[in-house]
Amino acid sequence: MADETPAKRPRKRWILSIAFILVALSIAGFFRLQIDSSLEPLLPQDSEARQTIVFLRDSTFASKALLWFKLTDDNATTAQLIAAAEDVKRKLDPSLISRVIAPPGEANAMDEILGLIEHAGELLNQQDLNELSGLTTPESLKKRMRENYLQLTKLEGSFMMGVIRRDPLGMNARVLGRLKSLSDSMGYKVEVKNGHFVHPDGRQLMLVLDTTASATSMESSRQLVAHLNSIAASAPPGVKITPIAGQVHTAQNDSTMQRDMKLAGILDSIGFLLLFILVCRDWRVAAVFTLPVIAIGVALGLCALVYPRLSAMVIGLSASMAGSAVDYGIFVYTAVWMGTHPHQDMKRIRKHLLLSLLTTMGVFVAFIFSYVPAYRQLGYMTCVSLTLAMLAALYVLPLVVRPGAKVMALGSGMPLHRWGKLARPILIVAMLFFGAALFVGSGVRFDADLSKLDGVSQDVRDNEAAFHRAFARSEADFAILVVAGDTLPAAEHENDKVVQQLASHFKPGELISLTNFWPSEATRNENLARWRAYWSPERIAALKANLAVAGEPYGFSVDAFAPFFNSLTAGPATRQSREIISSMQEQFVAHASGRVQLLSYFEDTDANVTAVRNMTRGNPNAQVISQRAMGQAFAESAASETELLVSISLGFIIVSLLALTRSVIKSILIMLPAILGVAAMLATLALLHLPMNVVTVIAAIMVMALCSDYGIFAVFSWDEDETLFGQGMMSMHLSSITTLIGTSSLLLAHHPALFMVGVSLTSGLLVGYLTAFFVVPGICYVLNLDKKVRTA
Amino acid sequence: MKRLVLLFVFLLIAAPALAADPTTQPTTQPAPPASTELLERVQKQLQAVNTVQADFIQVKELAVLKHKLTIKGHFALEKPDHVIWIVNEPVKYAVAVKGEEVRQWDEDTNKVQVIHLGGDPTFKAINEQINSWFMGNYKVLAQDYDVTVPSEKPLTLAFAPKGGTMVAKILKQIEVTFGKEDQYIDTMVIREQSGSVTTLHYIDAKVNEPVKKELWEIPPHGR
Repeated sequence: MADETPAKRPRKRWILSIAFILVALSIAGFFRLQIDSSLEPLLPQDSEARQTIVFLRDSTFASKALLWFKLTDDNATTAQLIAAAEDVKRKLDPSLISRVIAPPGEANAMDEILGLIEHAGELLNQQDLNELSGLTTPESLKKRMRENYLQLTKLEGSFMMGVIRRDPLGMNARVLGRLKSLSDSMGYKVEVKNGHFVHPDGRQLMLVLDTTASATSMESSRQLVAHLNSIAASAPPGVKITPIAGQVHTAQNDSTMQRDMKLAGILDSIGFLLLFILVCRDWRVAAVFTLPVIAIGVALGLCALVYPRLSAMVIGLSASMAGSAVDYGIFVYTAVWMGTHPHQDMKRIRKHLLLSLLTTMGVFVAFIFSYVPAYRQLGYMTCVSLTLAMLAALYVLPLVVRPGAKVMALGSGMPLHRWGKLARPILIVAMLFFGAALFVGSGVRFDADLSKLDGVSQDVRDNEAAFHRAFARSEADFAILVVAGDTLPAAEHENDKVVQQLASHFKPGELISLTNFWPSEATRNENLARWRAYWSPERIAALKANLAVAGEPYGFSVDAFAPFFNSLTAGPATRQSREIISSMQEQFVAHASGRVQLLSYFEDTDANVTAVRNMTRGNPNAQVISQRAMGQAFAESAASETELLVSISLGFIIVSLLALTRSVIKSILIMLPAILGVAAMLATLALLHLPMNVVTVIAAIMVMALCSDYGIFAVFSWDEDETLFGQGMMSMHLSSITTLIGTSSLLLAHHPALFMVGVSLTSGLLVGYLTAFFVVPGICYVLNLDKKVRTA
Repeated sequence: MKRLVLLFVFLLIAAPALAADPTTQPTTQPAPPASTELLERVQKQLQAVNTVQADFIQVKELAVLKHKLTIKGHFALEKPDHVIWIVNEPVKYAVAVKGEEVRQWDEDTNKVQVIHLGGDPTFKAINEQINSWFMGNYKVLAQDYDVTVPSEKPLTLAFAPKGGTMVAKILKQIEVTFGKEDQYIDTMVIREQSGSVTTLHYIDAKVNEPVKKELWEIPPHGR
């Protein structure tokens, strides 16, 4: 400042002191700061959508990965495929891959089946026992012996002999039928060959890996994918290895975003450099762009004092709001450059700066009342950073900028009144455009499906689709019912209860749960006790006698069914089928945060999800994981919040505008670029078949915040009788150009979320800017606003 | 279960189907291993076979029965994936596999049960086994079995499942005796680990003669 006087020094000291305190507090905050890159903070607190993300973050279910081996050489054999898999197993990094999931041993399959049959008592419920009474009548036994005999004559006779000896009554059909139905409904089309899951065509194989990397962790996903890719790259000739994993999505989204951001950074830098060379050519202008960045940095630390675990996306969005903060700097810079007395210049623009801050903050203040943690963080951090940026623009920037710097065309151009007169025909065009935009934009629907924001490459999608086609048994999308307990028996017991509760909604076989085949230990013990109680010595003796009579015509030997009777009296001779059960548990049991989770699957339809959500509501151990449940939860939370947030936001903005402008017309004019900008944004989304979602909602808010600044600049310029490139209008031009450089670079983004941000912001801001440039002066002229204002 | 059963069925059909000449007993002297050349020659002979049809007599000695179970019926196979197995005595029963479909019938239920196996591993295993045994993919079989030659005239190959497999837990050995010009399987003997023995003898085998259309019918034609 050129005109520094002794009277200004105390104020300068105050400014420095306050700045020092804020910076010190911010630094303290940085020590507490933890950046959360997950989606979790974006989801409503205590909502099912949030529980879903927490489940995916914590559960071992989400840490599995697959390696898909495929023979590419027509002459290659299954043996080569298996050899390649064995070779890969040796190369796996144990710090990333905790284990390779092995199928049940082929050699023991027979013993395992017989083990299940001998232990059937544990798995047969009351209803099964009720039916058993009917199977032991002489008439039924006669029929059954005929069936057994027929079975022996069939091709499978030799194999069935062992089964018949252990189960003359045919009870195994119930137990093995449930096992088969469980395995068919969930399983992959695989055969077990030499300890591997091999496709029936013998040319494909899958290696199922338990990894230490959760699909929600960026860093571990990156490491895992790099490892899997290096394994795929070292595949032997004639074999192709493809990683299939959720972590591939995480890592690729991250790298796509980084690549997009790099490109955007380069384009932005070129744009800003050109702007600097052509328009400003004053190094002090750098302060205009630097101060908001510093303000955001300080705000970040201050925010961390309140929210130590800050969402990465919130930090990114708050940084994007630097565009609005830069507006303050530009406004101050142009005012100081054109003026002769900075103190008075600052006083002249102070009200408009405050108006700009309040209209922008209006939206973000409302966010502080949101149920969504990330929105609360965003509201708090943006309000703090914008306030700091404005204070910096008001009190620090004038200390740096000096009058008379070179800004191209500043102050030139035709008077705004003449421009307003010329722009009158454009008002008709604008009205038509607004009507059309509202009509087209009304077609945009809110889409809660987060998978639409997945920036994974087409190659990965194709690989997953091909893998699914090759191996999956079912085309249906499954939702997961998760029932948790502190221990496996506790989780199994709870799962029994929940599945029983849901039996009224699902038809048999529709809810695929481990309990259908392998209930909890408590239930198994109950079953066994019931089974043993049923087989009294009298009943056993009667059955022996009746079987002998029924089997006589077919020549069954005296001790034909000795293994069955021995298992009733002395207990099963074979061990329980641990391998089969463990193999089934791989698909149905997961672990998270020291708890055991039982997973049951059902078709992901609205009716099923709603029914399961309703029936398990209030049970703290049960939750539904489904894309639809997530959509429902999003929609519910959006519906419940929208009314509140919009009311707070509108109330804040209207009160601020009316208080500071004392004019309804001016208030409407200030918000006109924002209204047209959002309408244009919606219409653009509709034309490009893009949805409204969590990303575009935030983009719409930014369009409103930034375009309201343009409205303020335009109305200010009209009030001040400026030219087209006068201080207010020039601020608007510079502000919009700098912001549009940033947003339009995102139009080249490959990541869908960034592309949507680019489309939304560019379309909204461009139309908002054009509205402020053409429409606002035109309306001001038509309404003869200057006269009214001056009269008032 | 059905899958497992079917797998075994066709693993063991080989036994019945290739069933045995009762005269061919395991020798006390260990039989010499089959040379690659021999397997290639047999394979070449069998690969020239497009159809096989024959009556069969299957004798099962099962621990569960007091007597030997004698099963009589008819068998036909046509390349690439058509096979039918018809039992006429002591009960009537038939199973046919064509492409991706298995059809079963028995006189007790008098119903045809159709199983669409699709890409089911069992189906593939079935085809693999049938083609291996009957159409001669002996080099592949040699990967899973130790093959020896108990007799050269008539040619008899003995297949002992390699250890560590499910088949090895059930089967001890399958002996296959070939018929005229080694073009078809005359007899199979299946020795199980449990001690049960199944022999299957083909009678009046016809090789590369057209199979009558009605023979493929399920339920069997003129049952």
